[in-house]
Amino acid sequence: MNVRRTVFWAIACLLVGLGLSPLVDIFAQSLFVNGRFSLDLFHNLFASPQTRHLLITSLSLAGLVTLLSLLVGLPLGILLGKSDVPGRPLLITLFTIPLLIPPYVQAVAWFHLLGRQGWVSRWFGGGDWNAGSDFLFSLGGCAWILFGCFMPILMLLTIAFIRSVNPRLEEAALLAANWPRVLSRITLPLILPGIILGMLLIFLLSLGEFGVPLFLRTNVFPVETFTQFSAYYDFGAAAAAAVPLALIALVAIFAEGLFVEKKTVHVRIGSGHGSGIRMELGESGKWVSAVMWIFAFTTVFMPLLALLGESAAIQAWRTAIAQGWDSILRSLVFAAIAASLLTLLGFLTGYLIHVQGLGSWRFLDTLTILLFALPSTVIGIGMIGVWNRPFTNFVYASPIILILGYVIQYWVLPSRITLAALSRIPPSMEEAAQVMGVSWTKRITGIVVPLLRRDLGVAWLVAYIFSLRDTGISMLVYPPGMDPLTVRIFTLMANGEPAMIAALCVLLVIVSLVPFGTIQWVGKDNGGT
Amino acid sequence: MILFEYQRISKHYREQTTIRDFSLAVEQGERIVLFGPSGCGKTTLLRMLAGFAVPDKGTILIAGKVAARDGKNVLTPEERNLGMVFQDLALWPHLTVYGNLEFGMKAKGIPPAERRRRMDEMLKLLKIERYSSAKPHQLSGGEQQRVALARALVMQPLALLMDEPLSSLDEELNLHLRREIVRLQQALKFTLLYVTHSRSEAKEIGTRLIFLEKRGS
Repeated sequence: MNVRRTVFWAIACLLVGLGLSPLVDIFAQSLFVNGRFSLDLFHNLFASPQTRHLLITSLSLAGLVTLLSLLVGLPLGILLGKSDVPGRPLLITLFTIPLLIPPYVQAVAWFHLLGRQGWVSRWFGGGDWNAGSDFLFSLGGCAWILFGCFMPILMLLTIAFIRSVNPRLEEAALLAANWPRVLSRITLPLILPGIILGMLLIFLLSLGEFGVPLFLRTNVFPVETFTQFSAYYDFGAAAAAAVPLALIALVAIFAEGLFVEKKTVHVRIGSGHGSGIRMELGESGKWVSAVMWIFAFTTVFMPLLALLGESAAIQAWRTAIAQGWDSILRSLVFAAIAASLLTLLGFLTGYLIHVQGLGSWRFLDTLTILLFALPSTVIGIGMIGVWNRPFTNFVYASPIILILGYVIQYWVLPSRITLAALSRIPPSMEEAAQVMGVSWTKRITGIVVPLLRRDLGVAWLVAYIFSLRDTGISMLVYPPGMDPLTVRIFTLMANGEPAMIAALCVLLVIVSLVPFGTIQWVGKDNGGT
Repeated sequence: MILFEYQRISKHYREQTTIRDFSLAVEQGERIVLFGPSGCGKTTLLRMLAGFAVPDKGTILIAGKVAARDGKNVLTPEERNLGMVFQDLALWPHLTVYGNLEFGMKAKGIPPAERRRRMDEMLKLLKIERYSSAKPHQLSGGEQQRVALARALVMQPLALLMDEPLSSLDEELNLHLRREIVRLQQALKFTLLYVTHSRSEAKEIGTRLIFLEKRGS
């Protein structure tokens, strides 16, 4: 077997082995009680009226977040990707910020804004205003915060897909119709796979999110799984509670795969058509821009300002740094190691998928999306089942388990970035070296990697941000004394000073946004976003 | 001496037969031009010889060795010792002209002194020696063509394959470079397989012209 094929097989085995083993384990754990096959756990789970309530709440929450994201994210994506609305690049950057901050940190920020002792309450009711708090601690409040966190996914995918549409298709239609008709009859049908993918990711991420519902006391499936695991240490019940989530994710991803498979003929992300002809808004562009700025200020800045205001005392920062310094350092190191591994594995996976190097390339691509969309509680509990054994204790009791978790869940990010970048490079670039007799490894190191160096830099930074902001996997698998910052904040929230917690949250926001700023700078330097 | 040979090659694409029972034997030092309308399969024939496409039926022989047979490539593109100039030229943008020429030789372990000798000779022959430290984007279309030619020839391939390399150039430059290619071939005596859709280009370059017609399945 040649080197190329060996590497492809190694990547496929690693992805399938690492990615599927937690899923297999969680199914197995839920089917065995005291070492014997039993459906009791499922029976108990589904017989309980609480399960129906959990299922309805979970699906309602995810559905509401998806609907809100569609209603706001799609128009935002169209306007920012297609129109000449003033301040587009900055607005895209602003609306993307919430995606980079752990959702529960945003819940804390909103709590300081709308809670009983929050800033709005102090401004309007002298501390007696409860409407904000009542809203926040309801299903609607939980949905509102998650909408802020995940809406950028739909907006960014809409922009990316709009940019990949061949502008000639729109120009040809514009000769016979106006923009609204062209958008509805030409552009939207072409970008439909992107919209569906965005909606699906938002639905699954909301369904799997446990930090925000836990903080706002909204009982959903992931909270139940986490509670069964952390409070009662009932591994089987936790696994059984995680299975419905895993099943929903599996069904949704494969259904989307079937649908999008038939629809991706015309559109490829990163095919580099640019925005083509722009929809001119004329005078109303200023008003549209103003509305967007007000919306960004209200939903992005206000909560962060409330968080900053809460942490204003110097003493809070001193305590925060004293209590969180070691965790900050650990977070940075773990995220850097995970990002480096992810970049390497994601690049090779993206390359494998691009050249369709193995018959199973489509399955591998779908698997990476599934792992990203699966609730972190499912992956985390599955990983504990797989690695918590005497002979794998060197992994389980060390930061390797955390890094493995990040790699499994975020594998898709560098893989998709590589895939998008490779689709911009003509195959002849590599063929020219191949026909000269240059080996595959030398073609990769001498031609492909140098051509992709900026994209791989961006892939590293994206993987770094997601590893840094991770909460779900970190909460479940962190080894004793090795908690990263997200976990430390979560733990301190139970009895820590609110000002100190707010300061730690601000620190987390800062360390997440610095690499994002770098990406923006690299993107600007590269002539794109 | 026959350098390469297509023996009863057939190729289907999207359930249509693009090429059916195509046979051709090419002698050492010949200038063969495959020409015909878009979709007639001329580029596919070239890519099959290079090893980037596989014939569904038939055999391809290169220097007496079976390179492909009945749906399987026996020799990989790396093992065929051919040179190729692509339609988009495929010059590596991150490398200088020198880097583009040196990359293949370095990867194949040719000693530095020999690499330098070959590169200097080729740059001089193609009159681009003063651009050796330039990056491809700093060159004009004609200069880029010359670099692509030099990069393929510096490897001293058994044959040079050219896939519509002049199609994106203006008429004047196109005419000039046709003559340059013929001059170069006559000087270096390499075997050339050239693909074009232009009849006049075919006539000027080829010593033997193969016209391919487009037919349904």
